Amino acid sequence: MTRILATTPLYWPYIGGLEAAVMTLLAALRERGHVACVVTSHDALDIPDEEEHDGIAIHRLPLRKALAARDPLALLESQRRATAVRRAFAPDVVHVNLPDPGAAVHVRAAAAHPAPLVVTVHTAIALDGGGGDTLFGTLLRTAEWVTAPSNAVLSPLRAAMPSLEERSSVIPYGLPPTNAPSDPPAAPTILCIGRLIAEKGIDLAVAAFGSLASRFPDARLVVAGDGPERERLEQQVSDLGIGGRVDFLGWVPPERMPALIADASVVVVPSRWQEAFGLVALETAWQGRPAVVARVGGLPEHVVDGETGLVVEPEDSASLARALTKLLGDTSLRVRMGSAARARAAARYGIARYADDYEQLYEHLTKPRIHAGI
Amino acid sequence: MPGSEDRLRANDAECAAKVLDGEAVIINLLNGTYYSLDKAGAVVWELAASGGTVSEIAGGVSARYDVDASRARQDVERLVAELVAERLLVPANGTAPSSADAPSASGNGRLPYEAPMLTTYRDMADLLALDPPMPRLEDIVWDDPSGSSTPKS
Repeated sequence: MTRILATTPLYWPYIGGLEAAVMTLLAALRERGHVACVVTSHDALDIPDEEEHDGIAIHRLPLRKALAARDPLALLESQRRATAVRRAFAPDVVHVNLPDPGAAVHVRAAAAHPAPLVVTVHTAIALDGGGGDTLFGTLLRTAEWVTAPSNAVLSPLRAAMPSLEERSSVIPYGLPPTNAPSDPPAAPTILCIGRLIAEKGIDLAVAAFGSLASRFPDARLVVAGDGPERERLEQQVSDLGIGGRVDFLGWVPPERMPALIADASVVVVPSRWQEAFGLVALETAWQGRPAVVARVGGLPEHVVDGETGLVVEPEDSASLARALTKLLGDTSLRVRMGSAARARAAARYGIARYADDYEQLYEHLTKPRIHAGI
Repeated sequence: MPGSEDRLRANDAECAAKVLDGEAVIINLLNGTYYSLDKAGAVVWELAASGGTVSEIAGGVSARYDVDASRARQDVERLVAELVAERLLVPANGTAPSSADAPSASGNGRLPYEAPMLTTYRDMADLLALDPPMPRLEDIVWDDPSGSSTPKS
């Protein structure tokens, strides 16, 4: 049994990609008998400082507010609480999840109860000049082990800090298994999931849909998510004259995602930025659906072009349209790729493998070093 | 570089600072850079920020910590130069001498000394910007059979 103190920028009930990845992991580790607690930040909601969720104690500090207000006293007080939690919980391992400027308080809290530090980098972050005089560099330098969900995130860090070669690894995310996939929908449905920000490239999906809409008169585009680009996207849809065939669902809670994906023929991930992993594509695979993804970040590491989906160049709505046309026009290809995607997810991206990888890492870092030198 | 008898003060216009439990945290208000100092470093900050001179600060450090006066002075000069270069300290021209005294050593025992080190994190604002905003939870249509609008546990 390992006692794991995890730190995250936010945690339940906030549910971004990082939070979902950590919650999934901790829930699986808890089922295996490990004990975890989470130290995180408050945000807009008025929720308790201390709370238990799914058997995991959550400690919320006013970190985001302190950082946004540049308030040194609030940071010092957060640090004092972080130190008290660490001392009381007495972790065997501390697992810091980045990016999180609030992690500064845990650097100072370390002396209260020394324990091996694991740092997981969930977003592509540049390590300029070897990371001197930065929190990110300090955490990477002091970590016993650094993980990232893809080579796309880890490789540049290893190049910038060569000492990471011997103390880092890619641990892809994993998800719990879902029910056997349902039959694909009768009408061709393209689904896009994500925050409506320029980096997610939803406009590329709208443009691609606009160019294939007349060829597939009963096809629909469904957009799940919300954000600052929504108005612009709605205008784009209107300008293309496809207003009646594009649905903007707004934010959809995570537990509805599997059913939403199962109702789609194909899911498109047209991102412009370096997706650290692209969990949506993995959720798609688990539902037995093919994904069309941009060749950015970690996406092409788990979506196999021509086997489990199609990989297109980023910023290229014409290629996106060709890939979607190919899939929408060939039901058997969709079914074949969807099945292959689910089989690959089951083999490589399940929750058991995800939890195994971290369990073994924690064990490696916490076992007594009595065999050293043998 | 201030002379040994030049008074200093915190650059309040550009930074916010607090000392708590022997640790100083200073934040550059313009760019979010985070600095911290502990032990002898926090003493240096406290004395410098409140109008001390390099000589007074070095005296305060060697009164409290087990370090000889010349080494204390050397370390204080180095740290003060760093704090001035970072624009956290500025000359206190025209201000009255501070009434702040050096923290005195308790009894005969002086604390073990380590050279003060300024910890600097220049990426706080960048990391905060990388942290994507969350959906406003009230905007999510939660699939709750009870009809409540609160997130499910």
